[in-house]
Amino acid sequence: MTQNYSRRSVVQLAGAGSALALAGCTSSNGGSSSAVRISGGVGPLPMVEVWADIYSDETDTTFDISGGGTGVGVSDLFNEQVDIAMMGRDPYDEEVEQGLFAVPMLIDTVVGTINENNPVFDEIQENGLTREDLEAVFTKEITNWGDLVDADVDEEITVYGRSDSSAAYEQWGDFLGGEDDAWAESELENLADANHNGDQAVAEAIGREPNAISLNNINYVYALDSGELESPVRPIPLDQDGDGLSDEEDFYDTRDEFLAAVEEGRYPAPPAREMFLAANGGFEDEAYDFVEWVLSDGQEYVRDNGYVPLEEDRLEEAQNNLAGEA
Amino acid sequence: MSASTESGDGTDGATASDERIGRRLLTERVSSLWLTGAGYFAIALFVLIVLTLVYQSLPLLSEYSVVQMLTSSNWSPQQNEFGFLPAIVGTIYVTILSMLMGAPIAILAAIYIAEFAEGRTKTIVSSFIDVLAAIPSVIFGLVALIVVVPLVGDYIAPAVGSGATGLGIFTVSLVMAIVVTPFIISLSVESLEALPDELRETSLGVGATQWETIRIVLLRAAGPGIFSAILLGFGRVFGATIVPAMLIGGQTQIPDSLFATGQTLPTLIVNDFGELMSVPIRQSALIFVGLALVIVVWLFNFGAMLLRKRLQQRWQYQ
Repeated sequence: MTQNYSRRSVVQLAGAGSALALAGCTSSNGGSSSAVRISGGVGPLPMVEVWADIYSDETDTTFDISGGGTGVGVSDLFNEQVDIAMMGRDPYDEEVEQGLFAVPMLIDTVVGTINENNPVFDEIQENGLTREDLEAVFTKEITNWGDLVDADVDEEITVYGRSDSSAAYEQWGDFLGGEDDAWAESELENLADANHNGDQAVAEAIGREPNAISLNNINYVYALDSGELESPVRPIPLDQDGDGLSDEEDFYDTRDEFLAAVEEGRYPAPPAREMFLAANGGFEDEAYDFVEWVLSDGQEYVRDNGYVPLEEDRLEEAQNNLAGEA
Repeated sequence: MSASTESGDGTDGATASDERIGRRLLTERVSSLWLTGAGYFAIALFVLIVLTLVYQSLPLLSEYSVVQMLTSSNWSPQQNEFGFLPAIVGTIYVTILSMLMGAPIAILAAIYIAEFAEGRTKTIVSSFIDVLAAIPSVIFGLVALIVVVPLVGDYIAPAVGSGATGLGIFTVSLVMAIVVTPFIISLSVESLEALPDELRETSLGVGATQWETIRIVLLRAAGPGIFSAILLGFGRVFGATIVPAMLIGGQTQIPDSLFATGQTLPTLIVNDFGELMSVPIRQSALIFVGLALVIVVWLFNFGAMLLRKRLQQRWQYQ
């Protein structure tokens, strides 16, 4: 009986000890100097992580970063769970009405993709596809590769989209619709033959299926470290004026060439798109300093990580907005 | 580790034992309080979850009619149109189809393991089934993307005259059948093995063959157990999230064939929550899907419990 009692006290002691140890952990991790909390879109997540790493080395600021999607980031902001939300798309009016304040941070690019064994691969590489072509394919007006380009081929086109809501897919819909018109993501989803969950799954499916077409973030098209085309996934050159692919429009061999074209505006936006950092009302304290750094020194790291830095005047505008808000 | 023992040397043994009894009674009272608390905690948690879901669904419910949402097939959150019918139909398709594929195999496998397999074979087969049950379902999803999706897209769907990409209702059902079968097998084996040997001996003794014994006597006696195993599988398919999300193809349309892409209630939530949480009415719509899911599963469990009770009464062997 008494043995029982003392065994219990041992357990109690151990429990108290571990509780103390846990308490010690939390206080040393972030009790006194609180971390900047960031959540949101998975598109900009890799870049923000790189920025946070560099910035925390320079300033001792600590970060707590998670993904979840743009909508999650914004709703975390409104619930005061985070200080900064990463956004892969423009803020909605409803969000701005609730007090969302967003500044652009970089440009990310989406490109149409096909398999390197596509039945009309050579024709597409040679002449590119126009926006109208792509719209017809993604909305199922044209369903055969032979009808799309002038070739003696009879193969059905398989259209893949994204089943998770993705800002890239939304931008793609804006692009396909042309000026002042856009296909909503749910419309595109329902027109596609099938949708995959995530960029990686789309890239893999394109790599397996010669007749498939889809869209990908360029970091899933070019190899991350070398910036070369290594997987069977190939970008679709975009013929912007409808007269075949001119030298001006031929920049798809490496990521560097491609990013340079985006930077110079030779690749249209959308599908290139700005990504935003947002706050509830306005950025404060360490979060403000971080965003200010991102919009100045931080921009130089963007190109190496497969994104495009903001243009000079857009950057200035963003800096002014940020300063004006404070 | 030796515990220090209090020595009862008899000088004031009465007070010492009083104290000990008091302490024991106190411990008794505290631990029973604690146990009761833990029991009610589960109920409180359930109520809290449901209340949260209801509260968060109110913005949607105050603007849209439930009947209209449940019967409309127009899912277009950007236009604030929320029709849940495609997801409901998809969920029903997937659940029924996986159970049709999985349950017969599971029951046959369970009979084999419980009644026919012996010695090492039995150990090996049943341990592999346990291992299968322990594999996280996301792994099944990954492997299925590489193996099952091309298989369905290139062979099975064309064989029945359907052009498909391999993603869709059929693929999900097939993979979910594989995911839940080990659970159904394990539980069914347990309920078969729990049957007393007299049952078998008596049946064989009056001249029944082994198969007759299994079919007429054992399956009936273990019936409620096997039935609840199947229901457990049913519930798992119904609420399955990651496998369907990876394989269903994410189209919010009423599927027109077994190989069509679709959406289930859980995939609707997991596919859209990343983008829809920032606008209150859309968030409310997703939460409502969650509420519907909880209510359906709860009703289902409740019904299953009643049914199982009745079966147990009808199929008693004692």
